[in-house]
Amino acid sequence: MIKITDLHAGIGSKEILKGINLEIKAGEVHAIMGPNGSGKSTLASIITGNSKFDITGGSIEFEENDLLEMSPEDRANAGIFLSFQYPVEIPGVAMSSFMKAAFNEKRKYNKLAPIDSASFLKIMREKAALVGMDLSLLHRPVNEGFSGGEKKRNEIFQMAMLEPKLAILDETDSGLDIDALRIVSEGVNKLKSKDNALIVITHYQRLLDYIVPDFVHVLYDGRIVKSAGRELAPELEEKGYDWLKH
Amino acid sequence: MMNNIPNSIKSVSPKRLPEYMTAQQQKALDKLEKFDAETPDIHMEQYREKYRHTPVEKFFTEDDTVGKTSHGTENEHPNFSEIDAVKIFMINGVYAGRDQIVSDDGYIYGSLATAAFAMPEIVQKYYNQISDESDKIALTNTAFAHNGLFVTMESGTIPRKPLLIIDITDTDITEQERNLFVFAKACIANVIIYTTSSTDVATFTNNLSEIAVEQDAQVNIVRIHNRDSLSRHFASDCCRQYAGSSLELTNIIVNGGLARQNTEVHLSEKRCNSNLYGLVTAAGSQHIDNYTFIDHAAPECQSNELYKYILNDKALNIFNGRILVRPDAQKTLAFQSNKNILLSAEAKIHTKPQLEIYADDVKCSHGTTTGQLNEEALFYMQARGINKKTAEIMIMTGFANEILKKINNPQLEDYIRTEILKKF
Repeated sequence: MIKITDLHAGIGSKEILKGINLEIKAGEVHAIMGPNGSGKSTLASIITGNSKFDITGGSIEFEENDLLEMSPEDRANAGIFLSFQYPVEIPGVAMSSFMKAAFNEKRKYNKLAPIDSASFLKIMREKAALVGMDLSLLHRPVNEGFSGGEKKRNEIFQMAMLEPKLAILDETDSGLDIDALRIVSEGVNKLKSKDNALIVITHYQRLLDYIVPDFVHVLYDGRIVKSAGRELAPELEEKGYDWLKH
Repeated sequence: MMNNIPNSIKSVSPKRLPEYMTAQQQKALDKLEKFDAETPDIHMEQYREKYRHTPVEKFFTEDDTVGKTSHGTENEHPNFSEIDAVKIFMINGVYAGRDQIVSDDGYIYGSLATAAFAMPEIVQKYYNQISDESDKIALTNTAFAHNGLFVTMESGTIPRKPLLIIDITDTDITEQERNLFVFAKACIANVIIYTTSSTDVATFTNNLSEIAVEQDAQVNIVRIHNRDSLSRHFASDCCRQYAGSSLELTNIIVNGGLARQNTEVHLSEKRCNSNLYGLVTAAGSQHIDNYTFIDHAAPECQSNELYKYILNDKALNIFNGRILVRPDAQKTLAFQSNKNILLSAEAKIHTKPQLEIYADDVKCSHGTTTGQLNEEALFYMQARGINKKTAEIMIMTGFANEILKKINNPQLEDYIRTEILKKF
């Protein structure tokens, strides 16, 4: 589905990613772990198309397209989704209008007519129920005044609405209490299928107890220094990252 | 262009006025003539500061920098016939109805000249009592305005409909319109004032409205200014509130070449509540200047002010908000905020919040922010598949909505939102 080859990137002269290689196939769940500042969020931002970062080398192929050549909106409509570590507040723009705009852009991209309001409302209700999101939030401005937990739940709600092929969860577990974590994870698991894939960025094994990865990668100083099966996560929890640094 | 305005409406010639009004006019004229010579230096300095970015002289001379570029296409009007309201047309500053006082749905109105004779006890009590005698522009209006609109209501009146005043200017002859609004005790009023002009005439207007909000009255006024970029406009809303009254005054400047709006509210008695909202959208070389003055002269009053600007191209705009809390105005709550979005590198905003507090038991704050469209919000929306242009429009609309929703009429609100988006 996505193939990242020798990716180098940074901001200005500061290199953050120093040669990332990663291939993900449909149906797989990959966890990316690693200490703060190792480049996990940068990798997520670059896949999504944040122009803040300069790509200095390498390539990303997404379903045989050159992803780096695509605009952020095209990437989203082609099926890439990022659950933001820090979801952004948009004053004055209601969640429901925001979601409807996004939903219809995707339909337009797929050459479908805009959805009618009644059907859209019905889908919103279903998906909100799936992630246990309070319906009243849909009438409020995007993320404005949402609690930390509500913001994260809202990200997964949007993922449910847009049904991406490749979803990246960037520290979706931070800010969630244990009950919310369970509900959100159950939501994510319901959305999983053999046709889509998931990248889970996290510091803690806790989330991986619910969303079980097929592969675990350790990102350190801009490189993937270790890749293994799901058994690596508890080992990291126990031993920390230090033993991988050399 | 004026196709949805009834044919029967024609402007009427200036009326003679009663002596109590002409005496005020003469007094204003005298003051005006001696203004430069007799105004003490310290007041003159304050006065210059008040008009720093928009010198009065600019209104009275042709100015090459103003309005040479026309924005938007034809000046269109909302379909007024679809709006359910009591409607009043003002053409070139003159009340365009019959020479009599009309009562409709609780609103009592007519031309100011007609009212001056028909209802002298009210007109004499309020006429030229709220207007600022230390302001040249206000004095000019008092000295030269012959007519305008008079609106009042009886105590306790609660109309079913809003009052919609459609104020059209389509001549390049200087217009000086003088209006008087007297909202009696415990009445509830919703007023929308829509000022517009024809596309191809360089209009020049100097309007002044005195607005008295009596005890426990609740008044909501929405002013919408949507003139062509050739227009030069000066307007003053001089308001006085009495005990327990509330006033919400929303001032939306959609389009105009040069516009200076003075909004002055005197909180004269206890427990008044005052909300001032503003939205300016300016592009091209449009010059929009808002001066607001809230005078807390009595205890236990509350004022809240929020002005927002969206500026593009080379628009030069000003927000000057002054709040005065006098020594007796204990337990005052006064909050002011000014938020601006600059869409181009050359757009400019001068913002000057002024808080003068002479009482000790008060809560006051002011703040201002100016920035570009939020890049993070833009990216967040793009990352959900929304194209950049749509995302920009949604963010701008979201910014404007907070003020637009103060328009108590969905049709008009939608119309104005569309008009605003045309500019960017």
